[in-house]
Amino acid sequence: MSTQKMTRRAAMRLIAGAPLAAGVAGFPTVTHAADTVKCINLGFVLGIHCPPTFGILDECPKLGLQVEMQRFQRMRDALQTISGGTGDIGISEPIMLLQSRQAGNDIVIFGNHYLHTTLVVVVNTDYIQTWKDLEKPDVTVGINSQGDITQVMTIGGFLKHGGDLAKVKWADVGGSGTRVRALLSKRVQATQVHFDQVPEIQKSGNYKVLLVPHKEYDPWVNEVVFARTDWLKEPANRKKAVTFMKGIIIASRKATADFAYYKNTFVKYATLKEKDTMPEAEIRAHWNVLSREIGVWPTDNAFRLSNFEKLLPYYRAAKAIEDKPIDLKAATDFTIVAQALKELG
Amino acid sequence: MSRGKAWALRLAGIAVFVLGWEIAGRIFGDALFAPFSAVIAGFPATVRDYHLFAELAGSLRQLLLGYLLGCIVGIVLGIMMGRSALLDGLLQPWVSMMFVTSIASLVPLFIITFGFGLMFRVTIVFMAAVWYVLLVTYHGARSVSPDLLQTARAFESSRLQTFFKVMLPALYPYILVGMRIGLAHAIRAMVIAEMYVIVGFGGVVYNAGVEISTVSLLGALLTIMLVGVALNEALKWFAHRTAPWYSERQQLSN
Amino acid sequence: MRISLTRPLVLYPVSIVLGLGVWEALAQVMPRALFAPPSAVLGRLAAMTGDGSLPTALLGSVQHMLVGYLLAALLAIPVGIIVGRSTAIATAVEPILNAVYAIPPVALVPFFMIWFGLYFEGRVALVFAMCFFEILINVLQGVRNIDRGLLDAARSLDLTGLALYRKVVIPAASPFIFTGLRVGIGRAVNAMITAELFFSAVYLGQMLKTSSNAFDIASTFAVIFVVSLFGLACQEAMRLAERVVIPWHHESTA
Repeated sequence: MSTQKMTRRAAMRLIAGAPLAAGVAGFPTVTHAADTVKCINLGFVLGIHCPPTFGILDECPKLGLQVEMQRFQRMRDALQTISGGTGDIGISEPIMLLQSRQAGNDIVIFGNHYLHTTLVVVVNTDYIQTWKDLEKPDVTVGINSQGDITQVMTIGGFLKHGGDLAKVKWADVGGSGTRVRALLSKRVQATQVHFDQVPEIQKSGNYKVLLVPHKEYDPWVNEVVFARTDWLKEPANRKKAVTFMKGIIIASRKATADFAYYKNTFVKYATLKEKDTMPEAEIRAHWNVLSREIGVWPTDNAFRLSNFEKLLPYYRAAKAIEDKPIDLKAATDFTIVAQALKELG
Repeated sequence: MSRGKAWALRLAGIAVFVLGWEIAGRIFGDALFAPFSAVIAGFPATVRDYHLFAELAGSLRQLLLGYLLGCIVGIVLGIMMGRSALLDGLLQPWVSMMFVTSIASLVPLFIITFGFGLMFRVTIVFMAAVWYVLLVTYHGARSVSPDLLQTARAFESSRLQTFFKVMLPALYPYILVGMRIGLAHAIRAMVIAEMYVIVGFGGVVYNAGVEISTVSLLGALLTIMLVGVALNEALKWFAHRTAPWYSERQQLSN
Repeated sequence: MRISLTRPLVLYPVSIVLGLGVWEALAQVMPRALFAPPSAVLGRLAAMTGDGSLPTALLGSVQHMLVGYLLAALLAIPVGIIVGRSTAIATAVEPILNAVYAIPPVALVPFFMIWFGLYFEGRVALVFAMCFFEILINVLQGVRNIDRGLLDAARSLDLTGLALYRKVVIPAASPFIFTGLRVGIGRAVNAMITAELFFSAVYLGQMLKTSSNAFDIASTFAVIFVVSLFGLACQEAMRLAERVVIPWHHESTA
């Protein structure tokens, strides 16, 4: 963080905080030691997130990098805090980052957090049998919010099966818990849920999985690592970014190879209530799906330009990004992951 | 009313509420709206798994700090605006507008300005409470009957005497309402702000909301309801201690 | 009457200009990605008004806001008077009232979605929930605050039943009722946009979401500013109504 930015923050704090200053004298000012980065991450931690989280918070310190992680409910706010200079490295969905670049935010994507997703599209079979049924007037598709990954992953599948987008009704419902409840109360007839929620949903009615992203897309990119372009330009920060990715890759390799390692990350970081009481067989079953069936923690991070080139048409079809050219090469930096892989061997 | 009768009535009110919740819960089921009995049965697990009370204790400290600051600033500014047409005219438009602006839309700006720590959460609570205390106090200050003030002047009271002997007692019920509404908004803002950055008690509400079953979510909301009642009782007790004449003067005492 | 009418007319523009100056100064230190200066916002505002999109959206938004607010006011005023006049009912409902009031309405959105759907009814329910309690608590306090002497005097004049309410209770409680209506309408405007963001995005909420998705901060601020101005206008309308109905409340500041 440049000194100029700190002064600006201090100035803002002074202006906005004057009435409060008397009451909260002496609150700690955020200082950045040489080997520390502030990471902005999504709020809830499911099994898929645990190894990268462990990599960032437990493997990075072993490599000499302390990471301070701040979690957020909405990705958009996380992105804004990075642009505003309150955080260094962010984790977000790629679509929003490309939108943000189009709007003039100078940020750059430099790695995968993980690959694919645990989200699947589930439909109420009383209304929907095939993709074509999404066009029916009594069908509403629940999504998190317009133009985000939940909508785009659904639209991609729908378009592949020849659907007419103009006939589909979408409703912004919010997080996955709320989407499940909207589905069960029949306020929406199709939505995206996590694969391990499906059996529970099927207990209360006729539901089936219509789309599994890792089978439909090659690959599906759900969450990537990014920073401001000017931040990543500084050599000291590049070094931090390389270490950051090394932490993620080390944890990805170990979690893919070793169930015990995964289980440890899960118990330590999952925000699921039942994580302490979950039977080992169930954790192992999830691990099998994640590491074997889907392959969500690639040992080489699988961070490639072609990933984005293949997904871009869907982003455009969903109108998730504006209809103007986008320079994917300028939006991405592949040297960080390459250096991390070289150092790890 | 005797103490016994009052408690019987309170319990009856609570019983009706719980019964309604239970019936609605039985109709909707755990995933959509868990019945009261299921929420209570699952409550120990909710408390244990989410460290509910530890998170709550941390959140309450920041709540009280932000709320008290909001009350002080709100009462002082409210009285000044209520009694000075100049201040009123200058501040009113922005107060009215800030009051409408939703806290949620300000959260990102506050994070940029204050970071994620204590200062951010205290500021959010302060911003949520201050306008209600201010506006209600302001209305009170304007509504002090001119007769009352003229009488006071006729007795040649000093400005300060008039303020403490006439204004403040007349304002007291308004300040209490303002503080009560402000308190509810402070609690709500605390939860909302914490849900944004997934810390403290709001973080628990957020994480519980991800589950399919609503048992934990409703357990957390039940906790915030109890906190609301407890803090309100504390406010009432405080009001009674500071101005015993007020509850005696009231036609209906609590 | 003349002075107090002209004063806001003179002072409000001064206040707005001063406020815009502070805003412009803030925009100089805040990051451009997060904070737009008033000049840019006013430009967007003019463009959005010119092409008719903003007025159309506002008109759509006002529908659920008005329905929710009117329902809340029509229910809260009589309930507040009845509960305020009866010690027994007040004792029975107070704990539940305080408990439910502490819950952030936004945390109830998932439940409202299930009960009222994703569209108009859901939005009306949220507006109702966000302003009902503010009105109710003010009315309640207003009725309780009536001087016992005044009621004794009314009884000695044989005023009973509806006449007692019409001639004594409601006039005596009216400053509080108006405070409640004003605070309530501010909340309703806040709820109007909150509902459009949390339920299926429409009207102003849709504009806010689209502009924020495109990281178009000037448009985002323009929508928030319009909502705030609309909130200011609604509150001023309530002040005007109050001035007509209970003139002494106003004159005391002149």
